[in-house]
Amino acid sequence: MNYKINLRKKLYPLWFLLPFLIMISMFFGFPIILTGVMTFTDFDITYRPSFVGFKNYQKIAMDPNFFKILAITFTFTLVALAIIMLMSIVISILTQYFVKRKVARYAYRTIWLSMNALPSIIYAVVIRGVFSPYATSGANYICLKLGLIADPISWLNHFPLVLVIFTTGFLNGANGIIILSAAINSIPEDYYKAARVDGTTEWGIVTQVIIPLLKWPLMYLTVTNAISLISSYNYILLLTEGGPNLRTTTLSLYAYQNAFENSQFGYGAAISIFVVTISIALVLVLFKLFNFDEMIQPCRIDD
Amino acid sequence: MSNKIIIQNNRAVVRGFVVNILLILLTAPVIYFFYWLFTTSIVNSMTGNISFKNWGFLFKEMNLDSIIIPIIWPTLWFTIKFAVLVTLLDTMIAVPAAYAFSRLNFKGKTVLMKGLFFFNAFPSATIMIAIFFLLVNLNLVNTLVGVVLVAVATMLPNHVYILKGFFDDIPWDYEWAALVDGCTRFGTFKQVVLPSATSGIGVIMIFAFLRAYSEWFLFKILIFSTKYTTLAKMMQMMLMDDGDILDYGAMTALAIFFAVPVAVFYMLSQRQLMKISNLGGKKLA
Repeated sequence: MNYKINLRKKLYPLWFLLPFLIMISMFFGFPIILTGVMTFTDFDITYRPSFVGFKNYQKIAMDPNFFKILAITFTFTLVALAIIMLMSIVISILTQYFVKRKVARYAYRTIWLSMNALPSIIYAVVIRGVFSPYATSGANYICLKLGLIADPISWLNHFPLVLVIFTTGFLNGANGIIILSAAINSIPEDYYKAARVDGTTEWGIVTQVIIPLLKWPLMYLTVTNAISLISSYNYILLLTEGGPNLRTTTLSLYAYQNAFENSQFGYGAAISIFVVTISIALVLVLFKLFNFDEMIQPCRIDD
Repeated sequence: MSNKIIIQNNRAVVRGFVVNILLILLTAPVIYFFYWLFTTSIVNSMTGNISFKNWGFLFKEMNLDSIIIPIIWPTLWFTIKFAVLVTLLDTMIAVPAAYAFSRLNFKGKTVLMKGLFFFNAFPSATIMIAIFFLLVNLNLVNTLVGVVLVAVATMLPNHVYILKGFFDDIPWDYEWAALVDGCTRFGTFKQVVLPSATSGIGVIMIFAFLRAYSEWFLFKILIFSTKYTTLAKMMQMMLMDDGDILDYGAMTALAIFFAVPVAVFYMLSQRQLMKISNLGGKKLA
């Protein structure tokens, strides 16, 4: 009898967790393992995979595009990350600390918030439209008027990587702005007053009061943005599809293209494994940054 | 003395000036985007006059040179249906799970919490190949059930994580009081904890709905028939099929049509969303 009650008590949380656990193991746990297994097969359009050992990895080493793509991935991630962090720090400190008028602060925040809310596809339309090769399109029109260019250019063909990096950086930065703004807002006004009484300059307040207090959100933003830049290819796919001539293809996009456009699922999975490994390493860094045990509260009901 | 004050005042004025110039410069592109979107949609690209020709998809099928835009309402209806399905399933799974993470003791809780954080940060795009293979074997590829399941699964860790924060904020005394009065554990969950967590549940429902509403990637990979097309998928297809020669008039009109519900929804729910000020447990400052 007692044993039965104990078992019921033990199993009780399971009823709450079961659907969640099923979903997670089905669409995260299992696919991660499966990706690993698939790298050792020649799984393709025929759907009759057989094991081929390390052939897919050898193929990566032989792939003439691989190092080019690796270099693009690095450039893309580092430059976009720098843009995201710089932009979100500068804009959130400017709006939340330096702009004293409530109306102006509210206006800026609303603009950036709504920017963040709209689906990515809309920005893809805007960027492709503004930078389209027509003479009447935004970028060409302005540059022609200013005399910077003689003839309309096809921006996405001439500067694909620059455009992709700036679009991704700018739009992901909008998200960072919101997180940092909320964090700056929660800093008590007294801190600033105390610093001013001690004779700190405004610049000093930024570097010695605000930035140190933003340590956690800044670290969080850096790591999560790095992960998403390395592994997602949302804007690249919408803007250039990796072209022209692989000039904007990152590793994860290359994996996607090999799998879903060339139906080389095994090879695509092998490339994905690189990205997965980097992502896992970054997530582990995130773990170290945030002390975990603190976040888990024990149950305070002893039933 | 008075000189010093004047200098300080001057400095403040200059600083305010610099700050505003900087902010205006940084915000200008965003405003230009919105401006461009709006003007392009109401201008006839041939004549340059204002016209509402671009909005034809509201009433009939539009046959442009390169693409056909079908009448929009069935697609909108499907998009909303998809978003509602995802939101409901997501909430149904996330709420009890978040409650367990916040309030119950069980073996392996620490590991699972870490897993939650891990999957929250983990990019599901990288394992899409395996997910596709899985759905093929379950005969769920090209079905609505399949996309809904994958869509819900990819957003679950994040939502459970957010919701756990809301549950953590509810005082334990409420539950103790209910238990003392003879309520069961499940009874307290239903009658005490859930009503106190409505704002948190609201937040994840908003997130789920917005994300499902703008989903195109999963439809691109997991769906082959045109029967299931969301607005975002439709726009993505036009954007990628036609590239540079696109009719941006119709495209921007479509984009605005697509964005307006989101914008309205977001403005209405802004206060609600501002409530998540911490990134799960740890206070920021």
